Amino acid sequence: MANKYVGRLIRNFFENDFSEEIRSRFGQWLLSDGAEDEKSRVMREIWEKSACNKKDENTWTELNRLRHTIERSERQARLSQFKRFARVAAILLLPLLGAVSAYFLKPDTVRLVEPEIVECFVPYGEMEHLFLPDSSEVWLNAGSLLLYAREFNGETRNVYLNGEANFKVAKDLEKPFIVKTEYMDIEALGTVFNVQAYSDTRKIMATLEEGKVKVDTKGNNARSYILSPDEEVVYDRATQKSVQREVDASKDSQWKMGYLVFQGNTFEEIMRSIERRFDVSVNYDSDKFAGRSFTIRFSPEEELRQVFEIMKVVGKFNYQIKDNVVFIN
Amino acid sequence: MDIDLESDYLEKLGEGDHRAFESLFIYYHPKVKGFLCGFVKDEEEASDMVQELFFRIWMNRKAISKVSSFQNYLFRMARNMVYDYFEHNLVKEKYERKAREESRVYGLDIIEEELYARELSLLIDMAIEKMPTQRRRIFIMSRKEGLSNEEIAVRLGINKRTVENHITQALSDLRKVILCFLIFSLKFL
Repeated sequence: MANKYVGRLIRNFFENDFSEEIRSRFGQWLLSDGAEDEKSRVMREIWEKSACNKKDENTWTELNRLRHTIERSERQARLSQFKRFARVAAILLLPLLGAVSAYFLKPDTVRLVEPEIVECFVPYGEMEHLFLPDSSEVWLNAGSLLLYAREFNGETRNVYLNGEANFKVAKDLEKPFIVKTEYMDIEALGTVFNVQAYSDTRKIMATLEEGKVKVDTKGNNARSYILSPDEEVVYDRATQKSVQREVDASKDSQWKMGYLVFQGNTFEEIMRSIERRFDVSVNYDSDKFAGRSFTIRFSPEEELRQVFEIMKVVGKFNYQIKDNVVFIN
Repeated sequence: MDIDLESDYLEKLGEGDHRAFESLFIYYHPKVKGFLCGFVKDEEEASDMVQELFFRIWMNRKAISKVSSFQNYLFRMARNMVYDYFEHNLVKEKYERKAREESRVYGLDIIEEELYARELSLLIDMAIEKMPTQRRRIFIMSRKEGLSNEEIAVRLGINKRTVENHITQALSDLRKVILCFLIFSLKFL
């Protein structure tokens, strides 16, 4: 008789949301002695039913995140630059993955043959420049992942981005060019724009230099924007709100030429960018720099040490560099 | 995933082939995440747990490449993570006492049923929590606070008939939960 309860309890819990109290009591019950076999059996049933093909952009974001974690731990373990988890910016072909292509194609243009997906992965410390099948130009910043179909056969030209990229889209009035990221989609016909959509920064941004784009944010406060040159949409992951504002768009794409440009950025944002650009880890006490913002620009020739020599004065701190780690006190 | 394909990936995984590892990740990620999310009820937490899980798989790739069923192994890892989560993440003492009190409130003190009192009170409380606001409020006023239907009607400024309907509906909700094969002396039967 107890067994019937076990099944109901677990399934009921799994399928609904409950208060902290119920969750706590459920947890205790699950861990308590009695009916372990049945509990495990029911959980196994739930496991079997859990969807395998519900792939969406989140899977790619998580994969990217995992790669960096593994790469970092392997580097720390060996301190050797020779073997990396994923070598230099590699352009690789993924095996045919049904759900991925379904994601890229709209329902009404389902084809019998699935497109091959090309993946461009840029590790920390590097940058990549490439051309898409329609001759659009893309610059990818450090720590980014870009996915696109080998051939743009559908009604739209879709790419998936996790990280930062600058796009110079080839004009095609028949086929909109759409950049999909986890929190916003950017649609363009022929234009130049920058997208910053890293998993580990709070703000996601799409900045327009030339032409015209449509930006659709996702989630609870989903909104649609039309941008004119020198305008951008910023989505804040913490508040889940987005805004449209005027900027000097050329500043947002200077990273392409190797500049590090900061305008009223927090210390944390700056350190994150430095980590990606130079492939290092920065250790610091974030409380010491909370509430401060910086506007500063670094040239392409400036190396890690020079960058920190300047930051040290501006941020008023001391630092030490050991192997690939910067310690700030 | 096709058995042969999976064996192939497993073997390559053991050799440190990161493409094989990633193929397994891409295939199983939604399943693992969906499973964990259903228990921890927090997407960010579940995301972190999935990262941890696959990170461990990579770290133990040599041993894992030898298992007979990767899915079984994955399930056990995920299930154990759920157990660990409950072990370490929830405030226990606060709610332990409450659970025992609940059993008394519903008059569940027939000996054999005491064994299932905790499960039953959990099921009942879950059902009550899922009720629409008004129904839940009325039911609690009636059963927990012991107010009469008239007193409730007065306090909430509604019809006595409305109160009766809500209570009937609430009882019906609970009966669905409890099922008719359980015999116990709940005060309202």
